[in-house]
Amino acid sequence: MKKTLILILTILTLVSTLMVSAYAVDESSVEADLVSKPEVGDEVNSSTIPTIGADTTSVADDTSVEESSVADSSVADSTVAETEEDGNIDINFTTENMSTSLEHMGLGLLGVMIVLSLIAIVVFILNKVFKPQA
Amino acid sequence: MDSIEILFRYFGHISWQMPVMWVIGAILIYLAIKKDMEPTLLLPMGFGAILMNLPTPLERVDGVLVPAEGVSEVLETLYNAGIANELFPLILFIGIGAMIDFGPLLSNPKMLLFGAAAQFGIFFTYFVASLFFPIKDAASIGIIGAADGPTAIVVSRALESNFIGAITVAAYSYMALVPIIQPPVIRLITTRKERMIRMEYKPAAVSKTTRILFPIIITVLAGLFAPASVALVGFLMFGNLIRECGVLDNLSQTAQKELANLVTLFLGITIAFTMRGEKFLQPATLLIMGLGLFAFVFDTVGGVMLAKLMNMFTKKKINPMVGAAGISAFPMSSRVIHKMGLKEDPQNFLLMHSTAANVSGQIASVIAGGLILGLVQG
Repeated sequence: MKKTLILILTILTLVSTLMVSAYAVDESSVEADLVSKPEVGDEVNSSTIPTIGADTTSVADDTSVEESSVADSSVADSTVAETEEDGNIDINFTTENMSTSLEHMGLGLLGVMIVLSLIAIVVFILNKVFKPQA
Repeated sequence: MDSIEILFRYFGHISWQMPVMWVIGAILIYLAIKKDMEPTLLLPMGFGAILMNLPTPLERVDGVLVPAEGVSEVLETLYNAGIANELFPLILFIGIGAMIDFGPLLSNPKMLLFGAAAQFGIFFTYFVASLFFPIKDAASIGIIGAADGPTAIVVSRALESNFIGAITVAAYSYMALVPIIQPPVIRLITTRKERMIRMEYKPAAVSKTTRILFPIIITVLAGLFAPASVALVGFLMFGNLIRECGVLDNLSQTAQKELANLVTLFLGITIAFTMRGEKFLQPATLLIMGLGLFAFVFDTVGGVMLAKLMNMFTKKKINPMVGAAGISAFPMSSRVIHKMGLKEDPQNFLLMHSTAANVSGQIASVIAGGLILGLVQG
């Protein structure tokens, strides 16, 4: 009975870990694609990279940047205020989020199963290693 | 005449939502006092719902009447101090951790799987809710199925859901309604023969070292797989470590009683800050209540189905009802299953098995909450 259980748990854990690893690798490759790596010979835009001792006051003094950000935030605030003032939030049937939520559902269930299975295995090992004193 | 007008001027400020919220508040208070349903939270929430839906006092500034600071500002201060930063639910978790005895689970670790299976309702409801709500709200609604108030608050707060009030009310109400929700669902998906399966209970002694290492290892595992759950799991396990270490009995007692009571006292009334009529009384609230029930039903189904699946591969049969105790509503669910077992067979004692599944549900729900946060926040 115990052997069967351990076998099932181990297989489940291994399969789940492999699936999640595959997913994680897939995701990280997408992220890596998004952040393009500078290659040898590429010109690096020095204005975006702060260097030690660099004069940063020019950035702080740049009021146009501040003004534009203030203007942006006021727009954002007004949007929020309108939403809050309305109170009502429309409910519309939409399948727009279906694929994302379905993916989250699968990964979430898998994640819970993996973590709980691992905990079960750890507890089983702990019980074997640390026997209670008579 | 003017004085009379001053006396009655606030009557003109009563919107239609206010009396409705007073009725809702009264119902919550009634359920808490008369039906003994989660009174520690439903009563403060009910009173808070009334408190939050009274006309705002007015004061004259430069000859013009403007809204003055009222009780809502006090509750807002409490809300920002304890809920917006998730402090109250997390502190409450120390108390809950100190209350839980993981012994039955440690002596029978396979019960942990039921805790995982009984989180099915969370994710399935999240999927269904995403057909009506934005992802963040859908995930927050799904977490009602965690059957765990503090987790529901933390997740919906972290995801900045628009429905935190309705979600909290649903989570706590359905937790209290477990004895009504679970039995018909279990009866529907199990046969009498399955419900009569007897399970032997041979408690294996668990060493003190295991009891001490358990909360530490769980925290580390949760941190590796679902870092977003570390705050929840960490505080829960910290409470449990205080209990099990054997040298902090005073702290353990304080966490279980004074600390838990004090935080609960503020938690309920502070949550009411989100129960302002204009925001609470929406068709969405009704739908959230329905989806919350849906989550609890499918949690139960998930647990029972895993037990049935395991019975296909094991010689020692598991009573499928025990799987349903994998939800986090502790200790209601384990008691319900025990009573159902006794009803079918007066010699069938399922309490320890269902308690093991039930405490595993406590861990699983917190981890599920962390996973949802991680997945949705990206």
